[in-house]
Amino acid sequence: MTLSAALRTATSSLSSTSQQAAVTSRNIAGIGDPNYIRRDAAVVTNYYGTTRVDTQRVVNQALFDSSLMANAKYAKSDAIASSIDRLASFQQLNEFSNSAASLLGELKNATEFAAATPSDNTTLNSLVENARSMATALNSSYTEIMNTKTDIDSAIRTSVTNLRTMLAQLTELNDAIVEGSRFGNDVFDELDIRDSLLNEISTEIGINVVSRENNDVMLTLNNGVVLFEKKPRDIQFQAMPSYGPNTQGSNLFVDGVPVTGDDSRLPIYTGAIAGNFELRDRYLVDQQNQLDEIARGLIEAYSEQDQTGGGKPALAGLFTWDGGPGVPTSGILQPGIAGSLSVNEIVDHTKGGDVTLLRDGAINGDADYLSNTAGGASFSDRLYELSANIDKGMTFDSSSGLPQDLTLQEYANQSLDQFNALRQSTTNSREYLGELSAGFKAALQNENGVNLDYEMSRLLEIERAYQATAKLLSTVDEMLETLIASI
Amino acid sequence: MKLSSISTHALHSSLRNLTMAKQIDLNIAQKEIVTGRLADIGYSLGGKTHFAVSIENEMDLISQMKVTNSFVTRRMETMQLSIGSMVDAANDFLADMSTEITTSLDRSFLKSLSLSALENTTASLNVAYKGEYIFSGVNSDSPSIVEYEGASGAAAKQAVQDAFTNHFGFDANDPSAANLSKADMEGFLDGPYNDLFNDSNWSTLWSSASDRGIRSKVSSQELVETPSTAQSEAYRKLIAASVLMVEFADTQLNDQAIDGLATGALNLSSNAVSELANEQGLIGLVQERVSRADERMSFQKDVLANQLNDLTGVDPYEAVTRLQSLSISLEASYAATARIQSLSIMNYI
Repeated sequence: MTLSAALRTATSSLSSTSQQAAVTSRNIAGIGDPNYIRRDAAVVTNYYGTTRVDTQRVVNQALFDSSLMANAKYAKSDAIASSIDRLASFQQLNEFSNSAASLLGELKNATEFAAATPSDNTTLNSLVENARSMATALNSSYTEIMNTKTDIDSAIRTSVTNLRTMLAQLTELNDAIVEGSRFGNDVFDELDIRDSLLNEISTEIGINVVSRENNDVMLTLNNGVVLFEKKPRDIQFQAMPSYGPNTQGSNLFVDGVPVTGDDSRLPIYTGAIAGNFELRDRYLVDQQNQLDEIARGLIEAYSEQDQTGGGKPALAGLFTWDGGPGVPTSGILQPGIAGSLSVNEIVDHTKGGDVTLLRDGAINGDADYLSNTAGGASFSDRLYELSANIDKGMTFDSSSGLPQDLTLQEYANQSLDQFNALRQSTTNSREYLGELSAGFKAALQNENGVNLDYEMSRLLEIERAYQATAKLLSTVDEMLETLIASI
Repeated sequence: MKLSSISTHALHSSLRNLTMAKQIDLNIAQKEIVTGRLADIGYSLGGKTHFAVSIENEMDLISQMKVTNSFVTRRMETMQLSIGSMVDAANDFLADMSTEITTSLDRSFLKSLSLSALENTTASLNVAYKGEYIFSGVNSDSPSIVEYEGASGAAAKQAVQDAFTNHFGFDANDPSAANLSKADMEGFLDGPYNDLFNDSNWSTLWSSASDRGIRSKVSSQELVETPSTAQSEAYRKLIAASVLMVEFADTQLNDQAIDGLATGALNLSSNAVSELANEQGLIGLVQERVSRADERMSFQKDVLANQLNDLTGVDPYEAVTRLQSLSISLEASYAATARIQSLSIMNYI
């Protein structure tokens, strides 16, 4: 061991302490960034006694993958719960006053009130007004569902555009990382950005990250379809400009494979996009069908029958639709009827109609349908019959997701219940998944993030090491000086 | 690296999230205290939501039915009053007629007596409530009985005179009428005059009331029919009794014949009085049913209100306690945030 060897060791130590200081100060700078992964500057002593610094970026990969998964699940439940909340705030405004179940009850009450004072046109008119609120509420709920579907399509389109942009960024980053890693450059900042990008991608669509050599990544969807490998794969989605009763929304194609809808063998099941598809193709379709069935049931309940026993077909009464005066076939879904439901002009006083026809029957002018054959002004049987029809068993279409044999009121009630049960479960799962995702993020940050106290104490340690090395240098210098002076 | 570690960012943000969550809960508790109901009924009840809606609908229906029942009750009370006044008038008529028959048999007095009885009966039967002729049954838009001396009664008056003329071959003002005996009159009363008040003649000549009374639901299951209409025998007899004297008192008929007619009128009248009591009884029974239905519904409404409260109500005591504990923990969280923010190694090196 010579003095010059000591000097060489001190020099390399100085260089490694300053490198460590650089890493620590980079760590301190990353303190406010939730995506920053702490670098660890390990000092390695080599065979010749000199030291060098090996900087590592420590990521708990398993935790990161779980965090991505939780993130995607949360994004899905959030997408569903927000749309359901939007519909709920519309229908359940002011203690359910806009819901079919509540309006149907009011309509029944109005019918009974009219029946109690059948000679009073005012109460008959108020029945018509009640019917109008019912029809308007169904119309607007229906429009709301159509609008929500259109909005969902544009949300999916935005997500897809977003996804394409992010994948393009990912391509650049990934190339830079692979290139840099191959030449052993510092690519830690790029890795940080890529991780946060993957995080954002997972909110749109659930992904699995497959790591490969030189820090290269490949992304696959939950169902195994490749989303990214060196280059982004093709993503196709066609948003509908607007939705009608029979509009069939387009599916999402990744790499030419349908990943949503009935044609898809392995549909995606996490991420905001999956949530929006589930809403559009399942929950909203159920809601739409149920509204249609309620509207059809209303027309049926208030329709008029051939009183002579001649077997003529039923005709539309208080409520009619764009296929009136005929009544839609019982028990079969009539798409769009909730949108075209209206109060029959023949009995609408604001359109010059004769409201007393509601009491007497034969609204459509055929005397065979007349119930009040004696013509008494206080004839209440017909109105009571109408109100009883709301509580009479009917057949509903099975495609609406509710039992088929119910009364109209029960059907509306069950529809409300189903919707709120869905709302309850989606809100709860959003809350749970939100906590789960936040928990994973916190765990990830705790494990990989920066602790200021720790870094500051490291800094003190490094400072001391630097001082010691400097002292060593000056000591060797003094010794050399003594040596030179003595010659 | 470290066995357990915490990142400074996570430490600070976890407190922030916690504080936010508490504030949301605080908002909910506050709303529940003010309204006394669940803040979000649909979310809290989920698949049971329709119960809340149904119960409210049912309560509305009951309130409404109590209003409509009050219409029914008022209608029947008015009928009771009318029938009561008819009974009084018929009793007066009976008393006055019987004294008159046994004493002077003053024809103009008999006529005026009958006329006032007839007018009273007509007015009582044509009484209206809320624009409806209550004795007309379902045909409540037309008067229950014609005005015998007015335009609407012209056909009835003509029919009475025709019946006399057809039966005897001459009208009552014909001199030959003076020869008719009491027995002739009894024959006329039992035959053609009686026929004038049979079902078909009554409907065409005298009254446009329907057989059927107004049907009203008085509770969710009970449909009652207002019993009496102007079609009932009681009113027909009452009218028949008074018309008899109005039409024939100042004619050529001799005293014997008038005596026969007056006796007939007395019989009709006294029959009518007992039948009126019958009508009153029928109406009374329905009134009883309505008031029982009302009572039952009041009880039902209380039960429903309790159910609704169980379903959607919030125990205010519990909500206030929740608010208190939330605000305490929120304050603690604020204090902790401030402490942790100020806790930094930078202050010590």
